Amino acid sequence: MLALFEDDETAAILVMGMMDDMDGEDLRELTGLNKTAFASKRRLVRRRIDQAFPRGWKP
Amino acid sequence: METMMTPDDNDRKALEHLNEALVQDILETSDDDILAEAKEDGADPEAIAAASRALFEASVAAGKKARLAAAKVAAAADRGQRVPSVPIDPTEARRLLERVLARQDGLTAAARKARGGALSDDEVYGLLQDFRDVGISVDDHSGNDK
Repeated sequence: MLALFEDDETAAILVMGMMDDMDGEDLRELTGLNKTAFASKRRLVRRRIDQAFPRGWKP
Repeated sequence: METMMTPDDNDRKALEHLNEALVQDILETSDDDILAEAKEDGADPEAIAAASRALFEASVAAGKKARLAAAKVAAAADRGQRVPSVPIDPTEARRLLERVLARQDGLTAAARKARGGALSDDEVYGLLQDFRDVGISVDDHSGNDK
């Protein structure tokens, strides 16, 4: 999963935080992004995973 | 005793957390944004909605089927649990059947066969079970309806 974000260190950190069960403000602080940039990065993560697994995936 | 987590367990847990975060992200995204993203990806929102609706309806139907199957199993188990109240002794079962038949109209042929000893023990047990299945009380060994 992390290989999808090799080109984007902030996105990789965000994914690692999500995998570590962090959320909300803790997750935003982890990335060091402001609210707008954070929302945009979350969207990027979600869309990149959606594109990598168009038929969905199971943990 | 505490269960040891294997590396596979840890990986699965991490992916579950990621999955939850992504689902939460979708739930927090507005409908308009979701539609815009779908269009950006060249997807047909109407087709996606139809497929989702079909999946939802299939899940509802599967749920109904599962509940029906569970109810059948429960009914069968209930029947199985109530069997012991039918007398184990064939003579007593025959007497009970006679009492039940005596208070039911329209069962004279069966009553005659039962009195004449024309029914096997298995048929006696079967009839008692059949009566129970259709709601006729066979639990009152004294012959009184409850």
